[in-house]
Amino acid sequence: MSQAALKDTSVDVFEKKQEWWWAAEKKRSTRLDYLRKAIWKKGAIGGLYAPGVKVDLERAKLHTQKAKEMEASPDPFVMKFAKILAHVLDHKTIFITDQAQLVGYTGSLPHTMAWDPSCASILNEEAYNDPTAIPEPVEENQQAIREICNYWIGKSDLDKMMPVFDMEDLMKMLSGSIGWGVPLARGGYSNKDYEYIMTGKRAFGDIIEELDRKIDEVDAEVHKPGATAETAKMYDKLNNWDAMKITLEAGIRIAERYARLARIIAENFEEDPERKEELLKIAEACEQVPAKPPRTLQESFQYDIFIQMMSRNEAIEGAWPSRPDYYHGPYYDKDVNIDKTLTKEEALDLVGEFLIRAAEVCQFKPKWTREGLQGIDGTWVWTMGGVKKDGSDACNDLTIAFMQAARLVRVANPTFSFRWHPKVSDEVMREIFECIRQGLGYPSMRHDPVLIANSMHWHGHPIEEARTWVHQACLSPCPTTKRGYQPMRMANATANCAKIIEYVFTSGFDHVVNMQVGAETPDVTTLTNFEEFFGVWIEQMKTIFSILVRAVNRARMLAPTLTPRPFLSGISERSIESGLDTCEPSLARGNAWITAFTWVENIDSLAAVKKLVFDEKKYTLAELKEALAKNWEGSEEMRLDFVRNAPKWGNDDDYVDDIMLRCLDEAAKFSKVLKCPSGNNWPILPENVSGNIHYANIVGALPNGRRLGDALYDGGVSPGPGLDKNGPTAVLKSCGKIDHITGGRAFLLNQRLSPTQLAGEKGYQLWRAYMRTWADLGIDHIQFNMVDDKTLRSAQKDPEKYQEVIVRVAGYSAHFVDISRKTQDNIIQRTVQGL
Amino acid sequence: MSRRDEKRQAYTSMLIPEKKEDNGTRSVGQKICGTCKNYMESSWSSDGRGSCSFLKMGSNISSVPPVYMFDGKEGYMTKTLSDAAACKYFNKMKMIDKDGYECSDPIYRRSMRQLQQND
Repeated sequence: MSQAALKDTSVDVFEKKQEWWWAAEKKRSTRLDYLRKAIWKKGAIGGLYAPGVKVDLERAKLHTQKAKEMEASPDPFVMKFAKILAHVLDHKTIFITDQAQLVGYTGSLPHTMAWDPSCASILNEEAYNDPTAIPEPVEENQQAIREICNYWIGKSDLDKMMPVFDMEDLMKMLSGSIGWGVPLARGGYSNKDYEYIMTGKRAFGDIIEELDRKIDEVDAEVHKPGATAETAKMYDKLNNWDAMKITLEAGIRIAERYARLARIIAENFEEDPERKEELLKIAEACEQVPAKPPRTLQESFQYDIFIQMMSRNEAIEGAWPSRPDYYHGPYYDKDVNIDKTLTKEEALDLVGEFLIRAAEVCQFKPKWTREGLQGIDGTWVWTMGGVKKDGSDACNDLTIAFMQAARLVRVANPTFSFRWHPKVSDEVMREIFECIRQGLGYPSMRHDPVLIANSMHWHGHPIEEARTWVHQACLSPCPTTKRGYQPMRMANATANCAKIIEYVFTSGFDHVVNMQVGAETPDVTTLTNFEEFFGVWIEQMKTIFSILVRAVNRARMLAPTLTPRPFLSGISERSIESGLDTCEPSLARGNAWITAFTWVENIDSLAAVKKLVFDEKKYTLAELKEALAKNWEGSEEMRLDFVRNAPKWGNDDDYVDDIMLRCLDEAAKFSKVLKCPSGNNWPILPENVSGNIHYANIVGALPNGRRLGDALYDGGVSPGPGLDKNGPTAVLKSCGKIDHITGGRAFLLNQRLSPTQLAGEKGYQLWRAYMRTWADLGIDHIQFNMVDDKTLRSAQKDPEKYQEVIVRVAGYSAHFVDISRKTQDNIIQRTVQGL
Repeated sequence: MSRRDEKRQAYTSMLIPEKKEDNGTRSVGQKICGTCKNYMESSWSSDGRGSCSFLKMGSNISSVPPVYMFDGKEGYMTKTLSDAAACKYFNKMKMIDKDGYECSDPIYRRSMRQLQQND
């Protein structure tokens, strides 16, 4: 749209046409408009990065240079690593963009993606082999990448881990058929001990003082006459504390560099007096945090950004667990309501900018990650609302400000997930509804009472700790407390569950990757009844889950010595107290889960086999096995029978819903057999991100009628696209049969609603009634797409005009034009439910 | 040899990255495993490791004459850029997408520089 047309059209007209993105552009402040338009979108479009977005070689070069320098250093590894991190922070390029009030970036330029080559040498070739992301001059930088790749071979975290992993399990995992991700403490989803670091009681300077006291005490202790096993362990503690201190001091130094830069610009170059004031305020903020606790909303946001930036220099973090309204809310209240040093509009600008800064964060990731998280860099699912530790409503004015700012800046990442409970006010619910109605696809809704009980049931978190929970990734709850927080969720405990049913027919042999991956169960044609068939399914399920969990358990146990996290430890109470790395399993209560991708295919497939093979005896298992082996070729009529005439999940049909409950029950029982290194359970969590597209060519034909190459179902417990034919209440009733406390850790449910039907007050009341049913049924999650087919089809045809259309993909949102055609089609195919 | 030893021997080549001195611009032949329908790249690694879904472990398409094994369960481990000129089972795939933005598709490999002029 031309600027003139935009100027001439009123907000009302845009809103009536449901062109919310144009309305937002007209409504937001000049600052937010500038910052929003200056974002370099770094989420991959399908599998590749967008033109212009480049790998940041500075980070990789600094890290490699220091690692080379320190090869002969007598320091223990944890201190070497801390010094490398400090070197990176001390030397990385810093900049402040026009209009910004908040600073701190992962890359050295706005369009770059930080690349850490020290995690997994086997993945480094990705940077080398992808010509689209290598910065100019390409040939020279390609050679630099080659040298970096070569240096890290044999030295990266994964290279150190590989010799001590089980090779057979590792190969099965690396085949890419059953798992997704790497078992590394520096690559996955890091929660934080926010109750320690984000409550205003302390900051880096206070922690450094505490560390000095501890170091002096223990140093004196080890040098007293006498020696025991405990004394021997104290040296490790001292090294860990030293390493933590090195990283925290580096954190303060980089903030001081930002402060200096802001002052230099203000005092020497900036001519606009207003902007000059803003730059001096940035300088003051960076002199205050992270050294000292924040005093204002701006400083509180700045503190959070610094912590995230530093943590993302220490590790590749694919998520951003956060509860911003809860932890920053008191500063909003102080600045806006009590001291009145900020107007609501000024505060909204800061909130909007905070969202934009998060949207800009990016670390270069391998292609399988990009495919599984199309359109975003990672799952920044920020947790809103919920209850306080005492059970009272935690919503505040900042909760509302975040909802309003989200509608103005319309970024796809971060997204919000709202912890609903019965005490949430109508005002807050209306703000949430507006976000959903305006097509953001978020907040997703979480049932707080159910999920608090779930946390207590599965991991034994005490109620006060359970109530602090945030999303550690897309929808997995995790407390933010000393023993409850999980420092790293390793993504490879992500099971491609459609393989369970596939392996029942192949006796565990994977014909796609050409390897025996599953259990060597009897030939399926020898099974004579459904119970035997189901027994084989259970064995395959247990085998797949076990392979993945064994790898993570091993990595968690090795992490404190092979892949320590000194910075994350430095902001964790349990590490400050104990002198042990925060990944040390004995310090944590445990909060593990198996993400169950492509779960519902099992349910529909089992129901189809039960009905058409065992109940009606229309086909034999031998016929079905042959049809699947041939990818249904030559058996189209039979395939359609399995699609059309077998019951499907999501229609309130007990025949198939009971199978879902049996499968979950078996998984839940086995979840308590599997134990994490902290001794806690491994519940499953069905969801998909865009793994349903990534796995399309990896999962073979299935008895639900699916062919190799077809997109898999989109949600954790969402019915197959277009297969939920009995309306929205039937979907809820099916999902409501699951016990969302004991059945698993969480269950992702996608729903599409009609934006036309939900217009105005009537629309809000319809949605509230629907949400009451959802709440009454105790369903833990639901999220909505509210963009009509016409808009989505138009966006496919004319993407330039629809750059700002956002859709809910799975546990995250993305701009529709940034996801692959196959994923776009999959979203359009989802049933639009009329309420 | 224990079963564990056998597996270790078979898998070692897949798990240890190779140091390379060239800058990757060397030309590759028209017939490489990466453009064969029987090839499946590991979706996990990113340096072009994969397996043949037709030949089994013990095959060697670079020896003279090539060795073809069809028995056994484990597939023949190969790489995207392995020369398949001598493999009589080479079956050229059709590249579907030209820009590489689509995913879960054979063109997954198209982003590899060496394959760009190879369709």
